[in-house]
Amino acid sequence: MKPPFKSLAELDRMIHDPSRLAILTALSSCRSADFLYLQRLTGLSKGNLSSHLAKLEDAGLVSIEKGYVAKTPMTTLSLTKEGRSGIERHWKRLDQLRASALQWQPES
Amino acid sequence: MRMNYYEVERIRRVTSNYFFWQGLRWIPFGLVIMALGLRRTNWSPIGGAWEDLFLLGLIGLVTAMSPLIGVYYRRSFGDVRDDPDAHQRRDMMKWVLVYPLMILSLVIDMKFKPALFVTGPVWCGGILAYWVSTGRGRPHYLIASMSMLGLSALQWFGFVEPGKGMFSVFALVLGAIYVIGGLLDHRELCRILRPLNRS
Repeated sequence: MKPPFKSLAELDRMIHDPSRLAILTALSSCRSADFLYLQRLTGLSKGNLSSHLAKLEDAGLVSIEKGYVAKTPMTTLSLTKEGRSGIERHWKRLDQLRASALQWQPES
Repeated sequence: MRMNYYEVERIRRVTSNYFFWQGLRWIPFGLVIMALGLRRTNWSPIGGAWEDLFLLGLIGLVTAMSPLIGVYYRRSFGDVRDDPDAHQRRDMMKWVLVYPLMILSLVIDMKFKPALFVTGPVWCGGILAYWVSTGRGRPHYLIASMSMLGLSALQWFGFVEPGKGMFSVFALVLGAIYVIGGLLDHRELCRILRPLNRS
């Protein structure tokens, strides 16, 4: 059996980064959320959050929609189809790893 | 940022139940319920026709305040659009089972005045169902549900007369649950959704 920490290296780093994982997990729990909500939820600065969202958009995991609500600019984020299946697969993989880590015994 | 299973669960719970965690929304309803409970009782500070006028005014104020509180949450904490498919089971249970049972229990207590205040255990279950279905995590709802059982005990041991008197006590306790629960929900939301990092 492969030690669990070796399998950890095989995780998708685009998703597994803690901030991006938080963003994707939040977006997987709703239809869409706005920039302000994600900023408050993650505690990231505007610049940091924008940079993570741009990376996720480039990877095709998140869709970004810019618009106005009562003349106030509003950025709405949602998961793409790939993003939704990607985060579900990732959590499944993490759960499997967690289970195997609990059973794993180092070879003597 | 740190991510562990507890944090992930918290993100999921608050995002998928964002509306219900916006505690300030429930406070005006609590005040209306308390005013309803005080109506036509000796405890009411206002008498006669003024009481009904006050109640009507309060209902009008609550109706006007509700969208304003929504705007406050959207501007201060951001906006989340629910996934309607995720809550189908909750909505079905709420309309088909929980709400009808809660109303039925009140009708039984008001009309038949049984020795046991049926509304207590039924609403205790209702509050627990609300707590479970809106993401748990707020222990004050456990205390709130137990206080409903406490109401049944009050009547059982003869501290409150069944019927109108018991309804007044019930409405005061329920209103207080809305007000205190709302404040504590809001505090919890403020803890989870951190102040903006402007750096």
